[in-house]
Amino acid sequence: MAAICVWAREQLEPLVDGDLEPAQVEVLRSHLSQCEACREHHAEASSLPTRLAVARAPEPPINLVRDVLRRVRADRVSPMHVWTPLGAELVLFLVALWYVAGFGGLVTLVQRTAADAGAVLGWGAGQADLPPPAAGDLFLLLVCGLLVATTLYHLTLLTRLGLRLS
Amino acid sequence: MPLRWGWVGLLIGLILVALLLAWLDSTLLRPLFPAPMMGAKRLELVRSEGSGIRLPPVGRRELVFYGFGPAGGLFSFWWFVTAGVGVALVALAALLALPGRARRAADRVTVAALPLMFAAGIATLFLGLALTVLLRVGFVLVSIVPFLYGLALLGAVFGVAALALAAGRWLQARLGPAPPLLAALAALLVLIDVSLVPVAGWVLLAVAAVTSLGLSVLTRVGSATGWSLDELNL
Repeated sequence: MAAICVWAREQLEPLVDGDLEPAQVEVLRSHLSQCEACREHHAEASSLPTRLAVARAPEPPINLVRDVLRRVRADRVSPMHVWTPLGAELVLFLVALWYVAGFGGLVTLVQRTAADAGAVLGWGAGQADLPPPAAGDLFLLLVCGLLVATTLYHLTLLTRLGLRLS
Repeated sequence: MPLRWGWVGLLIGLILVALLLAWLDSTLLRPLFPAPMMGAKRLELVRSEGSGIRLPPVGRRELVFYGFGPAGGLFSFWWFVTAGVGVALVALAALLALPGRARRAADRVTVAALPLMFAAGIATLFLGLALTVLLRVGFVLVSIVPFLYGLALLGAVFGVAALALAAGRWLQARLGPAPPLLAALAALLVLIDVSLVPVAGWVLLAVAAVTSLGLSVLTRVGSATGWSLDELNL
């Protein structure tokens, strides 16, 4: 394709919209009178606004508003959904706290975990023997497993709601 | 950017209040501070009788200024000062290290979002406790626990920095323009001043720390995409 044709086809839309300078219009008309292919493009571009005006806008579905609202409501996270898991977490935490004999037991548990972690890291560094594995309590593990599941679900809900507030 | 006198006054006022509270905490209010560890003793002031400056009494308590006391120890004047300066520097370092992430996280801080961030912080604390128990039974996995706690601490520090940046913007809207780091420093000084008030200040500090942790979790440390898996598709 000749360079003049490339330029002419770029100018067809401004020509139809009446945005070209008279000098440019003159050059373009002169080219169109000589180039059959560009004349076809011009005919197509000229008729496009008319064809668009004739085309009818599609009718919106009757239930459009209702369906959109239903989807928005289904996607909404209510404050109930946000704060209820916190109650469940608190209950599970209190059960665990009661099971390990209060805050003193909780502190002891954390201290033992820190000691175990230090011992394992020391073993990894070759500075100590491998400590014996800690005995797990099935009930406590179950409560903590539920707590993990609840907190993860809760954080997912909070993240969704947080995105909407930003 | 010309700094307005309001900012200078605010910063000087906040620093003076912090120093005064640190001194009060290390002297008059020190009995309110518990000894958190068996081995740690509250540092006693080295007094030289007759050399102090008598101050106006507070109620029935006689108040004498014996100086700021020796450095070191727990709950001494210099301990409060260095702890406050440390918190401010670490938070400002977080702003310097991750400016884009801090800005995005601060953009998400609104009055409506603060309760959500607090709830997220509480949930994260519960999650950490539960994981501690579960990972301990995993034996070798117990070595992950300190790293989890370290991550939580880093998240809280980042959250404090982002909250300070957001609060700094709020101050900028009222006091006029100022460099963002300076505005964040003013907000951090407010937090330090509040935390130096015994009991009520500790509660507010704990709420701020938990909210900061929640802010970091909800924004995925100020990530542009948040908790989205879209990045996996790129």
